Amino acid sequence: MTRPAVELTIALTAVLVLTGVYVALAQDGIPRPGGAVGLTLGIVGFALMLAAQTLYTRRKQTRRFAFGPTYVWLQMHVVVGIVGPYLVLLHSAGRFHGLAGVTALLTIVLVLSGFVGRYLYTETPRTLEGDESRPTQAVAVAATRRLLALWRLFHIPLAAVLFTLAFLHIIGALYYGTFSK
Amino acid sequence: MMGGFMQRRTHLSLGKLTALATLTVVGGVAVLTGQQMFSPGPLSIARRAGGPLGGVASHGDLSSNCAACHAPPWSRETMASRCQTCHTDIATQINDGLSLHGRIANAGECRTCHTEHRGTHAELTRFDEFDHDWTNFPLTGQHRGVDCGSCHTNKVYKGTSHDCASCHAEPQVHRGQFGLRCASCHSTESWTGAVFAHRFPLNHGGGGKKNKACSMCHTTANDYSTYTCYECHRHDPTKTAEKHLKKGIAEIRNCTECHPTGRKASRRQATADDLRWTFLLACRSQCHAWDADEGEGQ
Repeated sequence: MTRPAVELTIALTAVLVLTGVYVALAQDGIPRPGGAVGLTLGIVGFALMLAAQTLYTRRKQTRRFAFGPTYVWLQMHVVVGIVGPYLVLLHSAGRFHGLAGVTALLTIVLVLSGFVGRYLYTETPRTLEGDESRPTQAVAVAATRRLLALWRLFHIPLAAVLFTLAFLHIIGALYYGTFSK
Repeated sequence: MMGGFMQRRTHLSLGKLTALATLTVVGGVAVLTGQQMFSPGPLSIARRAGGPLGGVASHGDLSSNCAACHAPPWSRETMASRCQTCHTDIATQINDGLSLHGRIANAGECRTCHTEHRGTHAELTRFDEFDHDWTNFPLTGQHRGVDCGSCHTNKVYKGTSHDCASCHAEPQVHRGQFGLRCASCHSTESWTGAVFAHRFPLNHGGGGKKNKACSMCHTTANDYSTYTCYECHRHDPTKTAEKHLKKGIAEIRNCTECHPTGRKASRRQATADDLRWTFLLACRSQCHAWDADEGEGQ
């Protein structure tokens, strides 16, 4: 049974609220990525993306100090994994140039990949009970799990590429934009 | 259990491997392109009006040479000093303290006003930080609210004429009589309320005659090049002509030529004493709606 998409509702609400705030801040023009508003968007957005990645991954890998059920952490991963990239896209101000541009575009791809993963995850039964005992159902479940495993082979390296590029972008911005007098 | 452990190890390794591969690729590209990938946007390709500097025609020529402008944090040089290494004329201005850049308090911080990486055709100057008082033409009065493009057409700022006539057409009411030294009568606060010296003494006939309306003498609407004295002086034109003719004066159309003070004095030129009656006439609504009852200074 598919759980109610409460995480999507929360993420959509947050995105709408943030859009309202952004529109109010953009009255005098779209905030520059390097301006006060733009930088804040980028820093908060990247922090959320980092949190979405690290907290959920650590929770999955933790056995001894597990805090809360995994599916709640997955819901957090979905919410923060939507809101964070949205802020990063606002930070980009529609400029897709150079390393920063590639990073922003990869962010979009990663979020879309996340939607696919969430769909596969919710379609895969968590236990071996129920209809899975039927041969046809068992085949379908196995196929879905294979798809999910295949998806992980795409999603995780993509996230690794994205975070690597994001860190390089930050280092470049600090070097050329902040420390270079 | 073991399968899950192996799966986690695989993902972790895959992530790290991907990150390392990404670093390698990005590092290679950075070396090959001169860190151009870190550029937040294209540089301007606007060519310098005075010709190339050091073989560089536009900032766009430096796209693959970030270090041309960006000094390393550990260097004694700054981005501004590197600007002035090429733009020596601006460095001279800053040092002389007299011209545009010399009047700017933080002229050494070039990027406060001049920004880059905003596109190939983007403006290089941010005018929201610009104070026109730094120029030889401080903006006062109504000029403060005027759009830059009103005076600086085609975004050319250097060499803009300071003459009022370069922006303001001479109104018809002037009829070409008042010249182009607008500031002698007008201020930048308003075109109306012009203050000018009426060369012909308006109180030449005594206190009771002063402060007459413009239309008293300038009877033709919006034409101050012509006047008549007959509105006040109840001369008969025919008799006046005969009287002057007896004295050998045939041409009497321009009364003030011979009567510069408005007095009965016979042919003579105006003297400084005559002109002492000249007074400042406050003229409302470009002179022709002036009301005698409102008196001077309105």
